[in-house]
Amino acid sequence: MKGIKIKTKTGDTLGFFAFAAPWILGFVFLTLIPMVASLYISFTDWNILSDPVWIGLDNFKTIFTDPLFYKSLKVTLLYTVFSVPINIILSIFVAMLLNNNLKGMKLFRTIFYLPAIVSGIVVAIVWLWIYNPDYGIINSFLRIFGIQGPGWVYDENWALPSIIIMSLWGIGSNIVIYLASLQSISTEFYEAAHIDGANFWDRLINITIPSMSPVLLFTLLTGIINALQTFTQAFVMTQGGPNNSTNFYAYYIYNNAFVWHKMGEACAQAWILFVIIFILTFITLKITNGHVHYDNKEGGDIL
Amino acid sequence: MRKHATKPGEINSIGAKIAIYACLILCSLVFLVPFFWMISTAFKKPGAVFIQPMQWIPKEPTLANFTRLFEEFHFQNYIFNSVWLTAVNLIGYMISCAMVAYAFATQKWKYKNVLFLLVLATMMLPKEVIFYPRFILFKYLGLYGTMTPLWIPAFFGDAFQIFLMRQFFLGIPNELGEAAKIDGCSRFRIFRSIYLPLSKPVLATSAIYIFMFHWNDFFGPLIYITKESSRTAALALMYLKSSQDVQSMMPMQMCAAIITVIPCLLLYYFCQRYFIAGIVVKGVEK
Repeated sequence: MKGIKIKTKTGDTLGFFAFAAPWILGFVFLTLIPMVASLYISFTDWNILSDPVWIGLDNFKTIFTDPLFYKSLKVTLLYTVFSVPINIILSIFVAMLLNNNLKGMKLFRTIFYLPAIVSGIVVAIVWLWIYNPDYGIINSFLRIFGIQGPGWVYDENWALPSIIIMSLWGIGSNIVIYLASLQSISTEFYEAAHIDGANFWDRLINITIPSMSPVLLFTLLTGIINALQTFTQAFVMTQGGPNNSTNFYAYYIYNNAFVWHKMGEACAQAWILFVIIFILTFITLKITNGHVHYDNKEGGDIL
Repeated sequence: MRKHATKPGEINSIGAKIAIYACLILCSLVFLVPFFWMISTAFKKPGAVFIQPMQWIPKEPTLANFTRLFEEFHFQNYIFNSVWLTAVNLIGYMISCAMVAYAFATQKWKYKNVLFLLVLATMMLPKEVIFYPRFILFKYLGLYGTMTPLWIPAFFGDAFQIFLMRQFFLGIPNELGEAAKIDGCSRFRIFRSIYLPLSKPVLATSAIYIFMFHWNDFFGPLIYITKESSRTAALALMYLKSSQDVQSMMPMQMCAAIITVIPCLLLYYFCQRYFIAGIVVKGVEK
């Protein structure tokens, strides 16, 4: 009896590893080893062509005394601080408009979602032309009213705001998420509030936002993480300029690695980004802790 | 459930209705303008592009930009590369993710939940930390400049898709597998003949995700592809952009942009249900 039991148990374990093998192999060879390598490389001076030379903490010293590092950090954080909240607030607003039982809502949902299926490179190229100071749609439109529009991405002061505005074109996926979340709120809450004579703001703050809070937290976190890794806009539209005003952190890493061949510094910067993401995630979770309401156990069932 | 999602009776007033529609129409016009401009520019003659005031509807619409894109710039080659790369990734990820998800959902191992936490943890890693050393790895293997590094990872699974599929597999009653086992079905048979056929919705959702990501991927091809002949459509678009002859290149860029967007639009049109399900699951379940 015992022997058979052990045999099935090993059989089960074998079954598990047989099916999980792709991920385990991938984790070891494509994630774990590269990560360890990246950590090692971040302590070396390496131009990819010759052998890496161990230089201890020198890369980190260079980075922390590099004004461009602070500039790129500032640009990236500014972008994150503005684009993520504006995106969320606008998405909630549109989702609430769409959450009415009126005709044509499906069509509107499709229109708002369309830009979200367009690839980043296409978005960047199209918007580069929209922002063209002389021939772009925006400045042509402003000219009708006799206003001379700014240089948008070609102007040092306007470049970052332009990229933030552009990012709002892609709020469609958040809208769809929020709409689904709104539709799952039980109507009983609203009926009770209606009897109590609650107005629009009372309902928004006491029912709608708390009910949506797990989804809001999720979109906030993924929004922050994605914003911190912004690359395509800088690469395609501005090349980090003018005067480094859009020198996004991920773009700076790319330049270090593939343009200036300073792989050691690039890896060190990537790890600094990792730490920043970790800290920001931690802070976000701490701040929102206690404000997020899971109304059922579904959230806990994931594991 | 949807009928009274807002306060019942709220939208009965005509004023509120008009306000809602006015807001939505205004916003959606703003959202549509870039698309409209893309299409209108694609059909303009090179000389008409910079005429002010702008022609919203080209006075002399032409297909010349499209013909030139294919005949002179051989855009069809890049599309073919994109199709090939996306297809291999799709096959690879679907097989590997479904297998791994099946392991985590149905197979038994003492520490599998701990291991699954690790799967979830890898979702949090910024791609920069893994990407650069992975690049070095592929370079050492002599694969730099080939398309191989762009599809090899597909056969080793993706954390998010594994997570999605595992959630779905967990919802399939264990008894089905157990019964099949007693009838002498192998693990692989149970996987192929019971789990996969029952999981079509989640498989469709995953497939759409993977398709969209790899069809639109720009960073991967940018880094690994060196030969002009192996460029993907997204990458070729970038090179069209960097050409000097702005007047005639802009309409062609827009043609290329439209062509690369069309497959995504069609996919959205025909599989809207799975599309939306995917986004919603992403937001709500985590």
